[in-house]
Amino acid sequence: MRPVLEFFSSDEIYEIHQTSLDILERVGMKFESLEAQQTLKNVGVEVDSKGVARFHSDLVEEYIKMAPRSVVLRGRDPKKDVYLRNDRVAFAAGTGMYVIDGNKARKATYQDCCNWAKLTDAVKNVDFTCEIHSTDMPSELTDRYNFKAMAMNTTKPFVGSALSKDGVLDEIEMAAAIVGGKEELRKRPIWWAGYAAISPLIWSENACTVFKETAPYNIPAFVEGESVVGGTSAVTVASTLAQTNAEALSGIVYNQIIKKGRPCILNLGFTHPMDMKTCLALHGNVVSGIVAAGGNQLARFYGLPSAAWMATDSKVSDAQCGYEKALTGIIPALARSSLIFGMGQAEFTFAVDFEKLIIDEEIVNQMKRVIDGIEVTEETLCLEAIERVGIGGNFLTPKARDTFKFIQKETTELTVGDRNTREKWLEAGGKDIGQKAREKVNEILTTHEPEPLDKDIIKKMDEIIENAKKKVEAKK
Amino acid sequence: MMSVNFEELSKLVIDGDTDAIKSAVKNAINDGADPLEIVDKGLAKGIRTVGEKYGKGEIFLTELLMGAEAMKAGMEIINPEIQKQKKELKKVGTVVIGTVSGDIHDLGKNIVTALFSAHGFDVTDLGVDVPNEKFIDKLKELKPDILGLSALMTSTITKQRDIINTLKETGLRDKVKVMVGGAAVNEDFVREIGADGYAENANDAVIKAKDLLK
Ligand code: B12
Repeated sequence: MRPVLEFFSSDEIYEIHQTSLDILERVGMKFESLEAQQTLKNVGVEVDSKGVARFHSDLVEEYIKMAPRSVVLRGRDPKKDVYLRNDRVAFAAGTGMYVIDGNKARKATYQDCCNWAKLTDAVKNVDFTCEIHSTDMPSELTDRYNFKAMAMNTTKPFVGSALSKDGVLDEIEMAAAIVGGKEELRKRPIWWAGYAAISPLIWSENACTVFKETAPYNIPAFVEGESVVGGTSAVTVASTLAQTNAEALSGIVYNQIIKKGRPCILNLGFTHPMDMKTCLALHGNVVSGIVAAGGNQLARFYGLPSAAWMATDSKVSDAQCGYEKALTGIIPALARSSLIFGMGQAEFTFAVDFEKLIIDEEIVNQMKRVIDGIEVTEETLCLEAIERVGIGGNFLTPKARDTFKFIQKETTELTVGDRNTREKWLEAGGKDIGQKAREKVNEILTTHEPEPLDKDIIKKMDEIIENAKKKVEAKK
Repeated sequence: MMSVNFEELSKLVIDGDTDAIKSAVKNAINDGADPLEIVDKGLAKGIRTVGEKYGKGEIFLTELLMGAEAMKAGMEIINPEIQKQKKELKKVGTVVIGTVSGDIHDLGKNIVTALFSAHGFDVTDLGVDVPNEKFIDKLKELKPDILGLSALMTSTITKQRDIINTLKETGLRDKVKVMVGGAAVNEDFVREIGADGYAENANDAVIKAKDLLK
């Protein structure tokens, strides 16, 4: 059996689900976009003069059912497509606005964003790439620049942000350029539209715009309820889930109204437990992991994919970093969150650390072994081998030959950590995991050549960015 | 005149007891205590203690904010009395605050606003996604001592710089102290854009603001 970690009994899941529906009916959800308000009214949702929509539970349940169970995230290379379902786990890189270098963090640049994409392109366990926020480009245009950086440096599916309506329209153009036109984009909707509700209980104008503009292309919608636990949702995990679930469900309903059958991901895995003393929004706290796991169980209840974040609040690649990453990763991984973000991320969500990505790849390897579980079959029980080896022998001889095929699957290996004796470790230079990871980063960045993007596509992207620049300047 | 237990008033602020503080302040007034002393030796001392405790990591943010609420509740009772007696509270300062345009993060700004109010600042909160011009207009209209600009994203902190530049161009720069804050802001950036103050959290923001107005 493959283990599935569950935090709730079926009664409890129902309780939370019902509370979410109560929230949507009794308190409602504010939609700041007038257009969205009209869309909701058209299907019979009651919207008051303040833009607060109150949903009947029947309507919510009806629309949620329209969202497909499986979502495909498409890459430039179709072989790199990621299938999100709520019974398997994929892993994604993290995001940030600083790059950690030893004990210091410096502002991320466009070149860093390119290198980040390149590194994630090379690292096997990264299924999905995430932007880092370059700070050396005109601020209104960073979303387009980051898009270009990722498109050029990885063939894997990726996500960036869209900071305005113009931003999302340009990014659709850029995505269309990659796949060969808007018609093709409808067939292979690379890119995705991710947005979080403003907790408590608001969908912003921008979020509605991003969902709306990307809907015609069936671009997957990543719909998030991500409160600051204790700040923008109550401090209890149960209430946080009930509220963020209400937020995300209403977002999915909206998406299904504008495009029936649109692939949607129900993400309750990005909440930030607030440190009630320093006021900081944390990420490496195990509470994040628990919320994500609970959120995934809810998503499974609806038959939708989900997400989570493996994270740390540590500033350096130290023991805290290692244990927080492993814990916040393994909890949702065991709960089968469909997509776990955060590889290479550190210091809340502020920074990325290139060497940490390499270390996280190893953590992910270990986690994958755990979630594979323990296979129990006649073959894996190896009774015959036990009989042949008999009392007092060992299982390394030909007598146990039929068990050898399981070696690869049953055991784990390290890629940068060390399991050697002290002597052998010293002989190899006595390097710690960070040092080895650093060397690997350097090696990848100097040798890895991502599949180049067609020159004409790059030219098209540059034109889009040039036009956007002119538009922004004209506004000023 | 009965002796008023100022210590008790401070304690009610520290405990965040919004209900009890109202009657306690009323009683103190009825007992003939000087309203300015009620504030100074009682309420304000209480909120200072809460702030110190929070600064030292001894209490949770919620306790700090409950203290702020209690302070506010007490002040609502005392203010009319101060006016009636034609006295005047020592002005702490006026603040115009908001989250810059393109940015909708407001939790941090709201906490800063709550604490400013609790410490007796007169605060006008312009909300989120506030256009640069609106900050300038409000500055001209209200002439605050402090302009607080919150921005959490690298793509929006540039607005903090733009606003400061506009202040310089329009000759308003030395009329107001500009404080900036938010996750993407740090000391280097503050120096770079020439802001007057920065704080990493709400409590420090109040301390810094008081410093700037000295
Ligand atoms: C919660 C959150 C949200 C919530 C906001 C809810 C709300 N009502 O505010 C939601 C989910 C809506 C959201 C949306 C987005 N977010 Co956001 N968000 C966060 C998060 C996790 C926490 C912020 C927070 O509330 N912290 C807790 C409060 C209490 O702390 P604080 O705000 O820093 O405030 C304290 C101090 O800074 C200071 N302070 C604050 N203001 C001021 C002002 C003055 C004058 C002073 C003196 C002091 C001061 O005192 C406060 C109290 O101690 C941060 C990451 C992080 N860990 O900080 C990302 C983060 C800020 N968000 C980010 C992004 C990218 C986005 C989105 C674009 C994502 C998307 N595509 O959906 C949108 C942007 C929308 C927009 N246009 O603004 C990025 C910004 C990256 C960048 N480019 O710089 C961050 C850093 C996360 C990340 N790495 O990706 N977000």
